[in-house]
Amino acid sequence: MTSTTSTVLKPSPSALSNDKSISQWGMAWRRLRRHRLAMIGLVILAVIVVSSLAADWIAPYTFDDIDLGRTYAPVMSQGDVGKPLHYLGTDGLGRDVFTRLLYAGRVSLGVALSVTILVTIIGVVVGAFSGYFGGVVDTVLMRFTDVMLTLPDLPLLLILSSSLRQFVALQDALGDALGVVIMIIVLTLFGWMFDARLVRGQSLSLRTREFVDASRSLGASQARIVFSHIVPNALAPIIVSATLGFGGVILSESALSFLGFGIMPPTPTWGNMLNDARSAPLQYLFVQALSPGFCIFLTVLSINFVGDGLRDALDPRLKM
Amino acid sequence: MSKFILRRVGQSFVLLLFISMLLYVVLNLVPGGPFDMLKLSNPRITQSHIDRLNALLDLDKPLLPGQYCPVVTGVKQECRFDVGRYVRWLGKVVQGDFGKSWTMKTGTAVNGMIAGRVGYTLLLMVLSTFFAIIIAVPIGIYSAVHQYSKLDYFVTALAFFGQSMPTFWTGLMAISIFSVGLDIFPTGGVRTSGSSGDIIEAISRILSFGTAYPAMAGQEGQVILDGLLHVALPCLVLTFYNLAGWSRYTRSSMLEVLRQDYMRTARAKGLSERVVIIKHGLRNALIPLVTIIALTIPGLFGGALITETIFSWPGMGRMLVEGIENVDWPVVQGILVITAFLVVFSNLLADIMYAVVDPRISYS
Repeated sequence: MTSTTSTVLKPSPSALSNDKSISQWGMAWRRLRRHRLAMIGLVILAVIVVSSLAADWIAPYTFDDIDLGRTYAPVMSQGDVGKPLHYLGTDGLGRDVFTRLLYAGRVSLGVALSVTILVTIIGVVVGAFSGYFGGVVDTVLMRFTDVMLTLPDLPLLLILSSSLRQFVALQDALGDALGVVIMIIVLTLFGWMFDARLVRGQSLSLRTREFVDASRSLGASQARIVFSHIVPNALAPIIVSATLGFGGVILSESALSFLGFGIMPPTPTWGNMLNDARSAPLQYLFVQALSPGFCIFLTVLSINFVGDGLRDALDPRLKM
Repeated sequence: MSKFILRRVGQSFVLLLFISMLLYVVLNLVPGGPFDMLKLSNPRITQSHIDRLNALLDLDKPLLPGQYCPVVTGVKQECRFDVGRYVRWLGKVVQGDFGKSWTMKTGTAVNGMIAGRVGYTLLLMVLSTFFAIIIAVPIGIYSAVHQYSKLDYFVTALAFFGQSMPTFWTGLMAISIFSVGLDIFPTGGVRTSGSSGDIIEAISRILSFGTAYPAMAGQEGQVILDGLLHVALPCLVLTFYNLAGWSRYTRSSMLEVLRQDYMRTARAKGLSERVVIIKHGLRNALIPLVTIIALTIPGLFGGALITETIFSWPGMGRMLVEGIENVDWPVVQGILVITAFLVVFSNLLADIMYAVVDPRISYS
């Protein structure tokens, strides 16, 4: 649209470039850039993501390097001769805490990313269809969503993740990845409802708009209307919800791992490192619990900052 | 209005029925049963023993209504129709009977087990909710009235922090600072070992006018003080958790109200700022807050699960975790059904309350 009008009007080159930068997403990016907390959050998050991805190169030890001679070593203590310092000390089995934090970040962030993507896809599909088609489809899908929202999620997450582990077929198929895959499945199962409601609300209001009528009168199929008109127009709140949901998934995953129902050692996650800290002698509790918990806190805090900034940037009306 | 309430009550019961069925079926599809450990620990127990035990617990019957073909000592019997375990269980639950524990306290009524724990959960919930409200509401009002002041920024930061700090971390940090470092509070449990009772027993002794728990005679004050020391840290953690969200809600709902015309009218009448804020502002701002708190409280029942686990607090949340670890489904089902019931009916209550406290809303 814009390009045709501008060729007709023959504007000056400067106006053209200005026109280009003022697209919806460009404007949102500009607003986000001005949001100081969101930028801080983005930087912290980038550091956390990059360092966990580069764990293989940064980590001074391997995450399951057991050294029973050096258990609960203090911060900045000596390792073996010729080996680097234990920057954050060691845990109850003499494993390097700093190394484990890096690898744990990889697991926690990976699980959270997969769950967020799956949850968003399911939520968008359920919500868009429910809102667009209305009627029986809407009633059935939304009643089901209500039931899922009313179920006590934390206890059911505990039950499901402990029971899925019992299935021999799953054990054989997945091997070491069992804990991670189960975690992704159960968190996805209980995570899509908010997105579904959100998208349903959006598509209820969008389906009566003129451009949807226009598209329908041009003969567009139902699926085409849903996925190329309804969903893209509801994208802003979906992105905000996915960002904030990402933080929530990290909290749930670490809660389950902390309670011993999640990803099991030796695979480190911030949650199961905290669980290990709980069984440490009391005088070591502070040091052992501080760093994994702080990683969770920092990650979720930065995500919430970014999510808050995104909400302001993408949809100023939603500002709290 | 009464039509609306009637319809919502009906819907709530249907919702509960679905939830209970889903919970029951999911739990009972889990592989493994209550006698797995028995079989492992005693090699002389054969599958036929297990089968007979399962039959005693009704576990050989189908889950949902269907055909039941019993096998007695290896011989197939004639198939007959069976209403299924779920329907039988539901029939008892409707009468207020959650069955008997499988593994935790084999054969003990689940009702009694839950009754023994509910006091501890209630104590923790009442205290932490109370403190969270009396701290959150004034903070929220202040930061709304003085928007963009230093305290307002502080509250916003606190809300962000509270949302991002998992309770299991704040709990562990609280233990390591206040119990290990400063040695003010105990690390967990409800009572110091060797004391003549715990705080719940002391309260029930007082409520029964000194007839229950005679061993505690004369030491009630001491026992209660000991109990308060034990409840302090879990209460602190839960209060902080709720404080963050609730002060933020108060703030935003107060900000909404402050913009209204009737506030200007109240000021124009010459009322003092104090009266304007409290009588005209707060009373309207509390409406959404009441419903939000009503919706959070049932969640605390199950949600205190993590806090109760960290502080070895013998409440329902802790029992739920123990029940899951021990494959004690009657106990788990009991707690989950109670939680679901509370959630559904406080949703309903919140809806109705909304219409009652705010005459502008009509559901008809």
